[in-house]
Amino acid sequence: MNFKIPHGTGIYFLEALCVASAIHNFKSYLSTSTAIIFTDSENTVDMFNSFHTTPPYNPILTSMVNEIVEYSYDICVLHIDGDKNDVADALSCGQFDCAHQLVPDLSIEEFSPPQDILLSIRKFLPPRNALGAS
Amino acid sequence: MNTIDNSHHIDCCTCFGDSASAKTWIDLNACVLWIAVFIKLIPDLFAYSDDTFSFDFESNMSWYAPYQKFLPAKQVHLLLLLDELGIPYEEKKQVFGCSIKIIGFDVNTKNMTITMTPESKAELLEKIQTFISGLRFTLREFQSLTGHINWSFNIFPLLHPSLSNIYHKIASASHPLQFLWMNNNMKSDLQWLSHHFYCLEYF
Repeated sequence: MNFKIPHGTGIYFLEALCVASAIHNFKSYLSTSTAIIFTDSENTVDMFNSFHTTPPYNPILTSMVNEIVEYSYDICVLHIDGDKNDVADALSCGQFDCAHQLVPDLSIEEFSPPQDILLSIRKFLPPRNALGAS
Repeated sequence: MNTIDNSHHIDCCTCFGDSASAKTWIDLNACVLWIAVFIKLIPDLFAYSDDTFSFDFESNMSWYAPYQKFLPAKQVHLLLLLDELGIPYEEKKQVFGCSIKIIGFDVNTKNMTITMTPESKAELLEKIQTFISGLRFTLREFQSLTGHINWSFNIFPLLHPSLSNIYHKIASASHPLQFLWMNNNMKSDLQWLSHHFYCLEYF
């Protein structure tokens, strides 16, 4: 991966960031503007359905809305149980061999999350030295 | 209900502006709507504060004797209920058609669109601009802004994130006249909102 996840971000941020990244990448993978995204994170589903979240996560939503408006996407984020989403579950744990076993011809590629989100959230994070990072 | 010298008085002209009168109104109207839906069985009835609205097919008209004219059947059904309960209403507000105003929005059944009028859009943009260029406002002024913007989310639900930082800020205040300072995050959210308002007709 050619980016660093900023310090101080939790799993909720990363799951929501993944959904936003999926939306940003639609234009290169999909020919249609209508799509459903499944996630096992209930918080993320709530966030994308209510369009409401706390200030630190807000840049994820505003970035997604910019994409939806610009490309006229019709997107729905729905919940799926983790055990029914085995490929994504394996990938999220870094178990790429396991994911290949489930889908032998699976192609795994790297991606960069939307940079506008990473830039926007920096101001909400504690300073690096506050976390003891050098 | 006002209590003066131990005697109770019903204030029929409850003044709008305090939260109690709004609650009283909603309690009453909710009861009326409950009767309309569950006793009179009027289907597809929608309500937003003091506006009640629905749809009907062009051919489904009924005669409403007090006005000496045909109105959509569901509308007649509701007016007859209001008559039965003795609730007064004005004739000029009992409107129907392919393009009418509902809670301030233009609802057009021919184009299947719901839009803000250019005037109400300009008014809201002006209000937002006042906050972007201002330094501090009272909690009540912020609540008035968020209420106004929230109303527009009926048309632009995608723009909800624009209030995240403002809600976060006003959550810490309790007194209506307390001043709160605008910060950069609130300003950039409102600028983002204005930008999309200019570009979008509806979404």
